[in-house]
This record gives sequence, structure tokens and C-alpha cells, in this order.
Amino acid sequence: MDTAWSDSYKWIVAWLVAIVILSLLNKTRLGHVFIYYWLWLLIIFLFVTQYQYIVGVLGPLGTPVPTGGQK
Amino acid sequence: MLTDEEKIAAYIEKNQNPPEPRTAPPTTEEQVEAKAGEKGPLKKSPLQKKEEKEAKEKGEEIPTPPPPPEPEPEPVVGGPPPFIQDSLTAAGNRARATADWMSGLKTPGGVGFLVFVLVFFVWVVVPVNDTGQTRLQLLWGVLTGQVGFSQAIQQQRDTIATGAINQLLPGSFPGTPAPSTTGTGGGQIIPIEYPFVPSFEEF
Repeated sequence: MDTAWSDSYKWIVAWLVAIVILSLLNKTRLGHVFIYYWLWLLIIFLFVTQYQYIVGVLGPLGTPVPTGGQK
Repeated sequence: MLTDEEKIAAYIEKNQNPPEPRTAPPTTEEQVEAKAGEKGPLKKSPLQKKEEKEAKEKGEEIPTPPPPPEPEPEPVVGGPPPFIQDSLTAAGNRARATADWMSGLKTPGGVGFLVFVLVFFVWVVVPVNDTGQTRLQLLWGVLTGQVGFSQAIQQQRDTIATGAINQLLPGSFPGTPAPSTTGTGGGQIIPIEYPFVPSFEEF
């Protein structure tokens, strides 16, 4: 089997399984709360660890655009 | 004005007979039994009356309902000892209380909002091309005219063409492996000037 295709296949299956598990978990109130605060933790973790990168990426967006562009 | 000793003596006298400890509230079965006792024995259903009447006519003895089975005594051997059982029960109660408390927490905004924020962060953070630009940077570059795709497409086309030629005719470009001398077949190797862009147009 082609390596690239088998890798994609694995990822597709993994995502489907994750979506099914999260959907089942979200049916209960406790699971819903768990997913909610888990996502908050993920966002905070991402922001704290990637803070410099995010600021670096967002920084140029506030700068004026060069006249005529730069191709 | 009472002195301290008098106050203490009054307090002791007042609390000499402490109130009886509270008893556990009656269970549902006990409440039902108490209610049934107040209103007398339970009435018989029409079917029971009919059966009794038929039995009386036939001269048979009225069947009495079988007594409820007595609960089996708990086995002395087996199962965790009482103190461990108590600990397990206490732990279970505490876990249940914690789960109830967690279930009662509010979730303002909902999960959809958080997923959107997460996807936006990924969109901002993850680089997607060789120069390490993110999708947000590319979008900003395209909107402001600072990023063009024509150069990248030309480079990609040249790379693919060079790779294909090297695979078909090894040694055509300097720095590539020479053709094998042990191979069969012959033919003239046509030197191709770099960059070669294949074309399907008719000559």
C-alpha cells in the first residue's frame, strides 16, 4: 500500500473516531462541561506557548502597506 | 447581675438533659406502612373478591398469598471488610458530589465558540509553506499585494521537470549521476538546456 495514502487513511480514521467519541461525550452534561473546560485549557496552553509567535505574526498586520506592493 | 459562676450553673442546669439525637428519616416503605396502618388494611381488588367467592362456593380453602421472601443474611466471609467498605462508600459519595458539582458549572459561549477560537489560533500559528508563512500571513500578503504565487509555481514546474528528466536520462545535468555503462540499449543522450519546460504543443 502506498505510504502516503495509508498515512492519510490512518489520520481520517483517527479523526472520525475522535469525533464520534467527543459527540458521545457531549451528550451528557458532565461530558459537555469536560469538553468545554478542556478546550479552554488547550487555548490557554496554545496562547502561552506560542505567544511570541502569535505576536510576531500579528505584528506586521498593523504596519502600513508599501506603496505599489512588493512582488 | 449574674456572676460567671451563676451563669455557668444556670447553663449546666439547663443543659443537664440534652435533647435526644436525631433519628434517620423514615424510608418510603416505612411511610407507606404507616399510612396503611392509619387507614386500616388494604382493600381487596374485585378479582380477589371474585376468587374468594368462587372458592367459598366450591368449599375450597381460600389461598393466602405467600409471605415475602426473607432477605438473605449477608455473608460473613467474602467482600471487603467493613472499614474498607465504609471507605469505599465515602469515596463514592465524594466522587458523586464532585461530579454533581462539575455538572453544575456554567459553560458560557458554548463549545462552538471555543472550537472557532482554536481553529483561528491554528490558522494564525501553523506555517504552511517553505518560507514559514502562516495562512493569515499569506492572506494578508495577497490582500496587500505583497505575495505573488507566479514565482513559486514556476519554481515548482522547473523542479518537477528536472526530476523527470534526470529519471529518464540520468547525467543530462551537471551534478547528476552518470548513466550506467552496464545497462543494455543505446541511443544518443540529448543534452538539454536548463530550465527545460515540457510542452505538449505540436512543433
